[in-house]
Amino acid sequence: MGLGKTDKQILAVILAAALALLAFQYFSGHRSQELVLEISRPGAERLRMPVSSLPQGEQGRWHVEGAAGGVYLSYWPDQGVHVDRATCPDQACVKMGFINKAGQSIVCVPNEIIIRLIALEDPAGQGEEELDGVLK
Amino acid sequence: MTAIKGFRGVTKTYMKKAAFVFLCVALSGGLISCGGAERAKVPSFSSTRFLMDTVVTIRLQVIPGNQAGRLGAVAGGGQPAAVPAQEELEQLVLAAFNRMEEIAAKTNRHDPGQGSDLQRLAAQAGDGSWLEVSRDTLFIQEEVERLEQEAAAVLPAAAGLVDTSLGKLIDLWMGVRETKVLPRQEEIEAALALSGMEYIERDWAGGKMRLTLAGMGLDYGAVAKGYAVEEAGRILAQAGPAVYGIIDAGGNIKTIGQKPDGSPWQIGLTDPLKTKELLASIELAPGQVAATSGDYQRYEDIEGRRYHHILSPGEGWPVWYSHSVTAISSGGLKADYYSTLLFLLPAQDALELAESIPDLEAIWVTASGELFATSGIEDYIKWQDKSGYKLRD
Repeated sequence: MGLGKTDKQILAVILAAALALLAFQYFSGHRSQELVLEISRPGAERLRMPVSSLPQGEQGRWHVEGAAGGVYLSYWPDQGVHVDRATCPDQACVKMGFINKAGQSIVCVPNEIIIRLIALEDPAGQGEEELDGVLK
Repeated sequence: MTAIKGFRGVTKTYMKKAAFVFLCVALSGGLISCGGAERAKVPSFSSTRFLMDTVVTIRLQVIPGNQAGRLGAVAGGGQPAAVPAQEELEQLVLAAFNRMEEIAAKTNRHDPGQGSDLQRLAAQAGDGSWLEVSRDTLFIQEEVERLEQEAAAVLPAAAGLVDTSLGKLIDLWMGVRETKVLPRQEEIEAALALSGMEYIERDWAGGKMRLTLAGMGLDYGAVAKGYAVEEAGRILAQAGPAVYGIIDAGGNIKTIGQKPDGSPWQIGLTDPLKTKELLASIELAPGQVAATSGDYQRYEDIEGRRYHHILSPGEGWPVWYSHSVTAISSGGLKADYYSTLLFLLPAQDALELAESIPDLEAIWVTASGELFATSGIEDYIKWQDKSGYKLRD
């Protein structure tokens, strides 16, 4: 019942792949930054929500009130944040598609809403916990 | 080598299955789904509105089935918790927002034509007449005075620091943020002469208030948002133990219920010196409110000095003891009140006061960059290791 050469090679490849993935997960868990969604409107104190805390998918779509009625946002973990629907006539913010990297933004001029992703250095990023909110 | 021996004892087939399972487990960190398990659909609702000069988001979600049953059994004496339907969640969130907007409408001072309680009181200040005002306005004023008594009983210097009668002074400094020109001392003294909590009279039974000094005006900016968050939380709590969520109002955050995995709520604190970075994260228990007062939220830098919005009612100028103070309590108004009061006090005095007040924890970032907290929260803070700051021993 001993292992043949091919078995050993297959086993070695599987173990190496598993170890590499574990190492990736370990080190990526020790990230130093938290991706945060920031929503702002002129004259208002802005809001910051960690992306990890956002409701996900179609079911998590939420309404953001704006000067022209507002927009509907949703977050899809594989793709990012986007505006599904807006009350403004030009729908420019909907056409902007997904944002998923720090520095990217979606602007809805008629609604006076700016949505952007920023990276905040995260002291809790020890791989254990995600943030649920950010005190401005 | 014992493990290798044991490993050799299994069959090839079993070994391959085991290796596959192991690989799946290793991959299950979110990169690849082995079984394609679909996320269970549970009622969830989030909404964002702009009120009280702040972007406010409320998120509410039903805890996935098994946890809800477990929590419900604990809370309901063995009976499963009632799980709200999607429509009920939406109605609760909308009701919470409507309540916040109601409070905002009664306490705002600047929206033209609103005829808020504070606008009407200012318009008739000094003419001797009593005005009917909302229970919210009366309650806020009464609660501020009660909290002041509580604080002053421990630290007499705390008396009168959170002053709701500073409307004229706050208007003066709001103008500074537009003109970028500092007020003259005589302007400050004139504004201070139109303030004083002793000129506020309340009649709770009659539902009335009046201001007895002509020209004065109230400002509830230090506490109104905290009160609104508290009231919104009271409405959301009707969802019961099967629901969790958060009210995020920028400088005021309230947690609703227990997270599904039972872990504490994790809230980041903004670095006052680098506002695009976090300085720490703190753990909050279900139902707690955290409120931050900081010199980086509303300010104007003039001639190398930061002139922010948190003003001394004695001097009429901003106070520079701390960069930020975060207060944590089960009450929203209380957390908001104390974040302002503790900011207005020398940090060491503030720490001694906060340690003596029940249901209150606080965290300081002082003007000299010192970081410290009350004893009840210090074990629940993860500080970022950053230059420019030092942890107090």
